[in-house]
Amino acid sequence: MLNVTRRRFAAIAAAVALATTALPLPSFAQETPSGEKVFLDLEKDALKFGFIKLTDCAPIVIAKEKGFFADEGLSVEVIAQPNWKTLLDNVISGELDGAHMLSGQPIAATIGFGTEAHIITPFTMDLNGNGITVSNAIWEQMQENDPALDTPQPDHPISADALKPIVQEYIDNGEKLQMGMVFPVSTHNYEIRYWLAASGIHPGMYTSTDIGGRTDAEVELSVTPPPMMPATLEAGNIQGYCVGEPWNQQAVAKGIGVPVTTNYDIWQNNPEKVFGITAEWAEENPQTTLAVVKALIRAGKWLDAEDADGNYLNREEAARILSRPDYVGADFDVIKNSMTGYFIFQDTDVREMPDFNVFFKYDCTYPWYSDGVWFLTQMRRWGQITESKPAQWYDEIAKKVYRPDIYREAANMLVTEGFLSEDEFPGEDTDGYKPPTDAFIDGNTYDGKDPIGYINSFEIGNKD
Amino acid sequence: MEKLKYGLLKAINISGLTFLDPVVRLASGEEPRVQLGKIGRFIVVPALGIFVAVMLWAYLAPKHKTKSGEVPTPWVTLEAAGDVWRFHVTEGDKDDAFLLVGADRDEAITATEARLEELAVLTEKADAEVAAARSAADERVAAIVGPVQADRDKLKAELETAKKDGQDALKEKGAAIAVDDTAARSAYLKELADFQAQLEADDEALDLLEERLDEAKATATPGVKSALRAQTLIAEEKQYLEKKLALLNKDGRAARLGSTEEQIAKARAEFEAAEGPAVYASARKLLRAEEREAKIAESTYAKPYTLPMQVVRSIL
Repeated sequence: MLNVTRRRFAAIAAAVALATTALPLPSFAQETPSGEKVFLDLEKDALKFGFIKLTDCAPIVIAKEKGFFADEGLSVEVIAQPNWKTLLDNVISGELDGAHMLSGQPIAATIGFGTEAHIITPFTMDLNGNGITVSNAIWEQMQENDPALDTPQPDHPISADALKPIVQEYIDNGEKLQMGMVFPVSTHNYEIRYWLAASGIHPGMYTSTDIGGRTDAEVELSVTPPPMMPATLEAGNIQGYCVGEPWNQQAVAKGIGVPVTTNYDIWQNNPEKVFGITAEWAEENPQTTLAVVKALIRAGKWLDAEDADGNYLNREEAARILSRPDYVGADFDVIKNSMTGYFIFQDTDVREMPDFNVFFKYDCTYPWYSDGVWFLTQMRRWGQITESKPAQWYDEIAKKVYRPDIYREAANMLVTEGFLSEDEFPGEDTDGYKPPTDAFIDGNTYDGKDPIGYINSFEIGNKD
Repeated sequence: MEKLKYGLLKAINISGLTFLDPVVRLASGEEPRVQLGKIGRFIVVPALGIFVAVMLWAYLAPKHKTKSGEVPTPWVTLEAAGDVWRFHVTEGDKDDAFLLVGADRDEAITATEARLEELAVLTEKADAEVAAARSAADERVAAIVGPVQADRDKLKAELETAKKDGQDALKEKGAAIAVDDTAARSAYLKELADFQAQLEADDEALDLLEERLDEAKATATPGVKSALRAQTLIAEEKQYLEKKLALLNKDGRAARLGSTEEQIAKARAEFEAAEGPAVYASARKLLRAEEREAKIAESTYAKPYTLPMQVVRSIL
């Protein structure tokens, strides 16, 4: 067996030598800044990753298009999925090796809410990037309720206070205001609920019998896939939605709706999407996992590359790549806005938001346990976790799902290769929890080490 | 000749394209008038019908507009089909570029670089045109929207003051009515109802102006759209060529095999020179390098399933 393969190598080597005699052998194919390349024994090198048509699938797409996957020896097919449920099912069944996932999906799958599977994430893809948009009619009514909004450039952040009288009106008429989000365990769901509850509007509870989350609701939330949000808004099925870019700017571009707030305002620098793989796959393919995480870290760094004045260098190119029909497929101009740091609330209200999409800065890509605990607290708050759990349970689940050990190994390899420096990711001394923060729209403080206290600090929602 | 004619006729008959039958017969000189008549009935009239259908499509499509989009005209559909085909061709080209070796590869690199230089110039021009089209469109829109906006703001302010004054007056009047003056009360109710009706009529007038304002804002800016399309075509070609160049230079099979060759040579030298405990480690390293080479020799470009490929896949 060995002899046969050696003969084949010799044949290939001869062919290559013959064919490339005219060419000086290119030595930069595996060049790294420090000259040392860490080679991984890949178990599998032809991979399939899934994504949903949102701009924050950028790290996966860029890792493919700019050759970061190829540098690791991976040949990756990036396949668009029609909705989050199909994406999750495909990852669990093994059709996809990994995917662009909502932060809540690995957690919910691991605790058994929805399809059960142990899914882990060694890489957080981005921060921020969502917005809440309402229809033109609702915006006009909000402006009537709060004249301060009736200017070309209202003050931001806009809370749901101006929406409260509208909600009451609908209830008085025997109906309920309908709003959309993308998945029951999506960041969008928790953010729109947080926004509504911060102004005293009850968004509905999940119970063991009600998996739609509409118990006691003053506003009913339903699920729509992101690319269909503007159409559903225009058709009048929903009067507002929370979704990721570019579908808020698309609504503005077509004159269908008005974004009122972004999740940067609701929770500054919140974790948004993660790269999710099944624990089984990670166990069977540890070296491949490391190679994938290495490529994704490099892609995140490329996306956030800035020049000396703080202007993004590569975001326009990224927007051009993402506007391809097999990726996000929206118009280049629409994607360019949020990617290059501008958010258009109305034609007259264009704000600079350089941190609207963060792909690497502020230790974004490190899988923090405190992120996982926040989602678990919100799941408990709204009743997706039906029973009360002790504080250690939150820590345990976060440690099961988030894998900073894989991230750290990959990052250290990149440091050896010279692509990353040690101060660009958290040091060994971190315990995985970010310090307490009150950068929320209602000013509430979140401390990842005290999940029960946090759950009890809200007026609306379950209490433990 | 006879054999050719009857061979063709048989082929036409079997394939079902019987409308070509009179063409072949006419070409061979058989009963020209009859054949011309048949051509008229079976080719010209249906072609005319298709032409009329397409014209009808082109006429009716722009009439149905919603905010989500417009019904595509035949030209837009043709362009979109062209885009789908162009994407298929560029992906196939990148697939081929991945595998090129030797002189072909050199040629491809020079050709790609030359085209990229051309595109750099074209990109600048396209960007300038987009900027120009945008500013022209802005001027046009401002000229049209400005007056309507002013009218609408004025009317809105007037209506608001009128509403407030009317409400205040009615409140005062209501407060002044005596307790048992039923006639005055029913008159007051009527006045209030009339006032509400007037408010509604005013709102409708304001809505009309708002509609006019929306229409003015949505004034077609065709110059911008075509400039953007030209810019997009150039930018997409540039992006495809840059990726192709990367595949040719460093990500393609030939380049990666080349660098792996170097690594194998280095590892072999190390192994030959190793002593003691280093022998095992260097032997492992050499073997791993050779395994990597085998994998790279069989690697392919991960091509997305373009629409033509999907069609073929679902048929076969």
